[in-house]
Amino acid sequence: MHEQYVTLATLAVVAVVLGGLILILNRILGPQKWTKSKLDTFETGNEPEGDARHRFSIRFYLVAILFILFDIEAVFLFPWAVVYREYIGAGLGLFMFMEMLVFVTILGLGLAYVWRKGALEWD
Amino acid sequence: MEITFQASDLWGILPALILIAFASVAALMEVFARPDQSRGFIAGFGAIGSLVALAVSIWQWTGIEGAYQVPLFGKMLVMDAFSTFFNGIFAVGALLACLLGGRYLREHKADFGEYTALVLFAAAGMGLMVQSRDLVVMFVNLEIMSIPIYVLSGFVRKNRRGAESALKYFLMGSVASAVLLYGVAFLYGMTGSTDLVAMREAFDADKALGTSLLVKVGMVFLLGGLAFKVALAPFHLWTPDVYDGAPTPVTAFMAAGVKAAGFAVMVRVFAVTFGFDALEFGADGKGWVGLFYALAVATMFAGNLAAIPQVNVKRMLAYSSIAHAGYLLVGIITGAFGDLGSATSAATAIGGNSAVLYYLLTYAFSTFLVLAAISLFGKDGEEFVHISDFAGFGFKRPFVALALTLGLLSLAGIPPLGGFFAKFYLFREAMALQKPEMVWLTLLAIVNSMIALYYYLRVIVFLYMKEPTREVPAFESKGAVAVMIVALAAVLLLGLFPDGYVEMARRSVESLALR
Repeated sequence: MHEQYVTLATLAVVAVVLGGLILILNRILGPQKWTKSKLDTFETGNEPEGDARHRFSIRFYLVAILFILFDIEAVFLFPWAVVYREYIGAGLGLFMFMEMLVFVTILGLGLAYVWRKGALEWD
Repeated sequence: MEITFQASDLWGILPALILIAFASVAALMEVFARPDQSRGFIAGFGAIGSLVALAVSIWQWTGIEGAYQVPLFGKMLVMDAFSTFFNGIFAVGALLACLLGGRYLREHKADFGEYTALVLFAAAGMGLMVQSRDLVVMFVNLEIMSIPIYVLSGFVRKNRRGAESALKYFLMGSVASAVLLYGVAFLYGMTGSTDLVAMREAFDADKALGTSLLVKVGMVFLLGGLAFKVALAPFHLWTPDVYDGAPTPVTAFMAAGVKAAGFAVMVRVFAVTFGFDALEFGADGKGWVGLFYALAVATMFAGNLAAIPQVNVKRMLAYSSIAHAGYLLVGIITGAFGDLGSATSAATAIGGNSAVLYYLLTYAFSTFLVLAAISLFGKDGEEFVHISDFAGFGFKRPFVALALTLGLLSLAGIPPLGGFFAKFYLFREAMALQKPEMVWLTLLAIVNSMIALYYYLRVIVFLYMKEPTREVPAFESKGAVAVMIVALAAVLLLGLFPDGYVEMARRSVESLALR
C-alpha cells in the first residue's frame, strides 16, 4: 500500500537486529572481568563523589529558564545578521530591520521585567 | 516563500496588538510600582485596554460589508466577520476578568499585576487563534492562549488546590497540544500543506484522500487536541479539578474565553474546511458523523450525570460546562452538514454554525454572571463554594443572589433569558436538517437540559429556602457588581431581543466561506 515506507521499515528492522546481535554476541563471547572501578559511576574520569540523586536549589531552574529565553535572542539574531546584507540588496533592508527591532524591544521589555522583579538576584 | 507586508495586515490584528501592548505595560507597571501599593490600578488599566480592543473590534465590524475575508501576512492569518465577532467576545471576557480580578486577588492575598498581563496575553492569543488560517500558526496561537491560562490557574499560591490544578492542566494540556500537532503533521504529510484553503482544495481535487487512513488519524488527533481544550468527553477529566482549583475569575475567563476560542476553531476547521462533504469514511461517509455524534452524546451525559451529585458549586459548574460543550457539538454537527449561515430548509433558518456562535456569546455572559457572584465567597486563598455555604444568602445580599439566580436560570435555559434562545436556535437548526439521527440527537440534548435543571435549581433552593449553618466570609466588590450588571444586562438583552445578535452570528458564519 505504502511502498515508499518499505525502505524505512527495512532500515529500522536491520538497525534493531544488528544492534541487538552485536550486544548479545558481546555478552556471550567477550571476556568479562568486573572490577570496582569498572562498575563505578563514570564521572568524567574523576572519583565519584556523593549520590547523584540529591536536591538542587529551585533557583537553578529559574536561571535555566531565563537562560533559554534570552539565548533564543542570539539564535534569532545570528542568522539575521548573516543574511542582512542580502535583505538590503533585495530592498527589504528597512523592513527586516524594523522586524528585528520589534523582536529586540519585546525581549528588552522582558528583561526589564525580570530585572526589576529580582529574578536575576540569587537571594 | 515570498515576504509580503502591508499596513492593512496590522489593521487586521489590531485588537490583538492592543491587548499585547497593554499586557506588556501592565507587567512593567507591576515591577515599577511601589511594593506596598495596591495593584487594583493595574487591573483597571487592563480593563481600559480590553475596552480599547473591544472598541476596535466594533469599529472593524462596522467596516464589514457582506461576506468578506481579508488574508493577512501572506495568508497566515485572516480577518473576517467571524474573527471580529470572536475578538469582541474575547475583549469582553478580558474586560470582565480584569474587573472581577482586582478585588478578588486582594482578598486572597495574591495582589499581583501579572494577573492582568496574563489575562490580556491569553485574550490576544485567543483572538489570533480564531484568525489563523494556517494550522501551524493556529497551534502557536493556541499556546499563546494556553500558557498564560496554565499560570493563572495556580495564581493564588496560598491555595494548594490551585497549584494542583495548574500542574494538572499544564501536564495534560501540553500532551493535548502535542497530539494536536501530531495530527497536523499527518495532515500535512497527506495534503502537502498546512494552509486550510490549500488543504480543502487537495481534498476536493482527490476524493480518495478523504478516505485515507493517515488523513483519518490526523483528523482524529486534531479533533482530540481541540476536544481537550473545550472539554469534550472523554477528554474532560481535567475540567472539574482545574475549574475548581483555579481562582474563580480565572475559571470564568476559561469557561467564557478558552471554550469560545476552541469552538471557534472547530467551526472553522471541521464545519467549514473539512465538512462532512470533504471527508468520508465508513459507509456513505457516516463514520465521521458518527464520531462527532458519539462525542456529543458522551459529553452531554458525562457532564450532566456527574454534575448531579456535586456539592461543590464550582465543580458542579465545571461539569455543567462539559454538558454545554456537548450541546454546542450538536450545533457543530449541524453546521458540518454544509451550511454557511444560509437557509437550510425554512426561510428563517440561521444554520447550525450561527447557532453555535450565538450560544457561545450567551454562555460567556451567563457563566460570568454566575461566577462573579460565586467569586465573592472566600478569603485568604480559601474559597467557600460548598453548596451549604450559600444557604440563606438570598436575603443577606439580594442583588448578588439575584444575579446568581438569573445566571443559573440562563445556563439552564429558562425563558426569557439568553440561555433559552441559545438552546432554542441550536436545537431548532438541528431539527431543521430533517435527518432522523439529528432528531434523535436533539431529543437526547433536550432530555439532558431537563436533567441539568435539577442541579441548577438546587443552588437556588439553598439560596432562598435553607437556613445558614455557619458564617461564611463574603466580601464586597464594586468590580464584581459591575461585572454582574454588565452580564445581567447582556443576558436579558440577548434573551429579549435576540434578533440583532443572531443576525450578527449569521453574518459572521457567512464570511467563513474560504476563498
